Amino acid sequence: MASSPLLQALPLLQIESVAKIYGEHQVKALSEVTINIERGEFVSLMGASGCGKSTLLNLIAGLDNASSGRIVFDGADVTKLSDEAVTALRAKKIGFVFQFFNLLSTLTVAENVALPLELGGLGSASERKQRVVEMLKQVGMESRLNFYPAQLSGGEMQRVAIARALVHKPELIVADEPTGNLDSENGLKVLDLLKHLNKSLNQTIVMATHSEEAGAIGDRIIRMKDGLVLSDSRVEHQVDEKRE
Amino acid sequence: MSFAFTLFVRFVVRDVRRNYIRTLLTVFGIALGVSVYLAISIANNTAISQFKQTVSQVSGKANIELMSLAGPSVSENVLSDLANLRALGVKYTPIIDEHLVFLGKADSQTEINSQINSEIVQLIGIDMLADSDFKSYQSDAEDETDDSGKIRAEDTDSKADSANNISVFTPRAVLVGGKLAQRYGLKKGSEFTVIVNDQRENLLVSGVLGTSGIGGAYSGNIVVADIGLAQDILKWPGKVSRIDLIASDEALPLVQEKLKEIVTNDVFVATPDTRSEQAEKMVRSFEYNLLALTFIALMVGMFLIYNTMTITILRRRPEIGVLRALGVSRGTVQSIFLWEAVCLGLMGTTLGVVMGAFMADNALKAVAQTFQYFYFKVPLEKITVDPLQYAAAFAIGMGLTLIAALPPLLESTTVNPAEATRRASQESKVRRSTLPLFLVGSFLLALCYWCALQPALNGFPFFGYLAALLAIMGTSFLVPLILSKALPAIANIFARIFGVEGRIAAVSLHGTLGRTAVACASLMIGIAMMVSLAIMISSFRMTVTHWIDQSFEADLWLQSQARAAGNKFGRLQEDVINRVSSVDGVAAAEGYVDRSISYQGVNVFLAAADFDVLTKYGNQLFLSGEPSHAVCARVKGLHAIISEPLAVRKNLKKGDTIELDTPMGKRQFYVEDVFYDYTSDLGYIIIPRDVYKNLYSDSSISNVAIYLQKGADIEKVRQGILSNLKSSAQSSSLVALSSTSELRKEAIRIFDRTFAITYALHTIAVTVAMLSIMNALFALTIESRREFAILRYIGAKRTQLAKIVYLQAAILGTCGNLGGIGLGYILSLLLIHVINKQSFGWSVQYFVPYDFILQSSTLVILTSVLSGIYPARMAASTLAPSVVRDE
Repeated sequence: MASSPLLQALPLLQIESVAKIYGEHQVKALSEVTINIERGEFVSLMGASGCGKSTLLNLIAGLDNASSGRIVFDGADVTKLSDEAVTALRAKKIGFVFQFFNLLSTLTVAENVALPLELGGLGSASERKQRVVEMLKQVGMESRLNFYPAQLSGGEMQRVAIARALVHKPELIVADEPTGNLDSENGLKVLDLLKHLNKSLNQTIVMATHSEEAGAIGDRIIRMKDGLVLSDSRVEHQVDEKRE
Repeated sequence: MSFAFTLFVRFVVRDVRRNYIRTLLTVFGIALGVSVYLAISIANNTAISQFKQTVSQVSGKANIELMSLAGPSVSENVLSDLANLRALGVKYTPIIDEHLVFLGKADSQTEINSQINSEIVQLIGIDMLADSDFKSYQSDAEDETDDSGKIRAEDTDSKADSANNISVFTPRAVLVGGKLAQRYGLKKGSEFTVIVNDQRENLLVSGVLGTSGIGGAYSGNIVVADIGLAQDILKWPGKVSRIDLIASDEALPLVQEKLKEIVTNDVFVATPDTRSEQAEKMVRSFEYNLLALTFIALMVGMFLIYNTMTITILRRRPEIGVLRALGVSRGTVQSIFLWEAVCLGLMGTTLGVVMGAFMADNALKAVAQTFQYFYFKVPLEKITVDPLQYAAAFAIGMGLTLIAALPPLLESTTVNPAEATRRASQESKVRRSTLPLFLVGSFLLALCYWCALQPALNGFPFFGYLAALLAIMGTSFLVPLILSKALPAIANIFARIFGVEGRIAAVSLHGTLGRTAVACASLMIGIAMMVSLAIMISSFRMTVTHWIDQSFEADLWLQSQARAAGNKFGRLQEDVINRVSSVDGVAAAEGYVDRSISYQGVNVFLAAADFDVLTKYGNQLFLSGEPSHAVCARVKGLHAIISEPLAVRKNLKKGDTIELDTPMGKRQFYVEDVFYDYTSDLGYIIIPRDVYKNLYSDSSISNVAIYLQKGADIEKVRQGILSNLKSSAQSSSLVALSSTSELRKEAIRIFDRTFAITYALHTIAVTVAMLSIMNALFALTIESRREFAILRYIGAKRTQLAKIVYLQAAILGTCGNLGGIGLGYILSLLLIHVINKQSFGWSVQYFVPYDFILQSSTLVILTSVLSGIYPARMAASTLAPSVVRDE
């Protein structure tokens, strides 16, 4: 989903002094978070459970409203968009990968992957089919087109979920603990896949994880604690080279 | 507080509160089912108990009754034959117990053939001098009896009244019931008019009865006269309705033996209970039919409970698994859900009982006219409350709730901790059981077919009702497999028409086949009831209309004003026939008379007709298919034709012989043929009128069928007849002259009134079914929250989620509707050809009201879609990240 040249020059995501306070007891989930994410970056959001990673992802995707601050996604202030506009933004520009895969059990692999295209009314039926097959090939699941999620392993399910997240060529992939429900071998395969997609497609990815090993795969690691950004650092590429 | 109770409160009560809309739907569904059952049951019970109460109030202490087998009256001569019984300590008294048409105060003017504003009241004639031993006649009210226990006509506001010297022995003086007096402002000295047959009679009020004793009979809508005056009013010289006797318990068997020797053949010895038993027999089919309809509403309510409990347990399987993993026993898990079912049942049943008590009055109003028109004329104004009925409704409500909850309760105990977290496991279990269920359903339908072919058991269509139940159960068991095959196909079709939302809607339903099938089956049953009743009523209506068109060949019908006002036995004098025949334009006039007689222990109508006229002009429809004129030409002497209900009930057919007890002794009649008749389920025997006149010494007629000459102007002839009757010696004669089209309209009006309660009942059943659909949609929506949230994550709009729910509602509505039409067709065949045929004996031509079914189907599908409004809103507002994160 290409943006205008002017927007291309700007960071894909600008998070400015964002805070999130929950409930009557004013629980601070996020405090004054400011981050810019460039196009093509693979950012790992790291920290222990409850540090605010998922809250930040939800705010980025417009699934929740910030208590204060501004989130500009591809030139649009998410915090000011209507529900309809945020939905459209998600449909076109964001892909999600969840810890628990969240495939629809009653749809086949191909149908699950095609969903974002169908919901957004993107492309003709044959174009959609072609795109689905293409994406499943990219994640190595083309042989499982007509399988149901229950017939797949955890790693396979996550690969299908990644294909679904990418099928509509989003600007950003938001991955929330994508390896959290996988064994180490399958976890590594999924991370490799994400890294590969990041490199080959210049796909921007923001991944929340509490695993040091998983986090290290990103180009940049943002560490969080108690709703605050502790550090924001670039990562050497030896990890990737070692793996490759 | 026990651990189980604590767990129940924390685990179940909180969940029930959280899902309060579904809880309310379920409770209301049970309540509706229970309430209609109770209301109808109270109405039925009221009718019978009011009849019994009236019998008891009029009969008093009498324990033997002598009645005529041959008609409404017995000869007073029997009294002289009873004198010998005095030696056994027997006391006896004559009674007249007949209908009168009460016209109002004496100043009311009624013109010939005018519409009269009247009502039927009961005339009780008693021997005021001789009945002091029959204390209950005199009531407990002191104002009606003197110290000797005899009836005293005392007016409470009459001390200063100049009419104070009026007594029950004053000529034309009668006592009136309190209710009647109150309604018409009657008091001692008031005059009022009644119509007997075609004559007006003026009577004088000698006193107003209290509400107890005989004054309470017929709810106080009575006129009590001395026996002589009653005979005079009715023109029944030397005749009474029956003779009541009191015999001591010790002497009773001997007295009964002696009576058999004393009385003539046409008199039978009975007890007051015999009449009540006969009344119960008469109305039994009607009552059972109504109760069966209420059971359908209850059954749909059962599906609602089953649905709710199944969904609750399926939804909470992972949590049950956690509880089990933490060491909670199977028994405890089962008991907490059992308590949930008990609580739902208690709330629903209690509400149902309260609603039923309020609905009972309306139910009684709805059925009262049918009881009174077809069976007995006892006022049914106030419900009779029997605590046992409330208890029975409560027990039925609770019992059915627990039965419905049993399968899901058993399911809850099978949850093991490891399996519980796998949601797919339950659905795969359901999917595996679709074929076995289909096979069971097919077997039940085969059994249903076998039951449908079985005869009635003692006149009760037991196998017919069983067949209906098996049809409902059998078809319900077919639903899972049919849906499992149909939904994928629907998914493809919907995907083409409605896009991805259409496919998701159908595949989600397929993915939750267990609850989809239950929701669909419950709607199917509700629709089936509506469709089957619509087919039955339309078929019946068409048959009756066709029958009236064919059989009512006469152009005009003349009857007494009393008969037109509702007294079935209001008569005209025979010479009316000649007077009518002499009018220009009249081709022929046929006199017809009917009376109620006892035939083989049941009440039937004996009628007499002029078969010579019928041969030439009539057009009765016979079961044999033989032309009317051919059959009627053979009905001479001791030959008869009988109606279909009697033939079915007594297993009679053309060529059989029936034996009647006549005042002239037993007579055997050859059955020439069986004719279709829809005026009464009690049955008719029609014999030649000349034979009837000889045997029953009765030349009066009930109505005259008038056939006009070709080209005659019906209005001119009508005026001619009326002026001829008016100018005759019988200038006071009160008659009603109707055209066939007026009569047809009246017949259809009575028909529609009779079926009004049926329409109300099927509306309630469909309402319960709609609640079931809403309930299922709620459950599906709650169940699908995760899927909806995922869809929202990947870009689905709120409207798209709502569209999915609406489409699911439409699929459920359409599938339930199609299944309902199929099952309704089966049920209608059972109702028409088995249950009604065996209950009432009527042959009904099958007619499907396609326009009604199309309209109602559209309405049901639309309502189903509308029932998705709230769930759709719930679905559209789903966007909780936690929903997606939880597994």
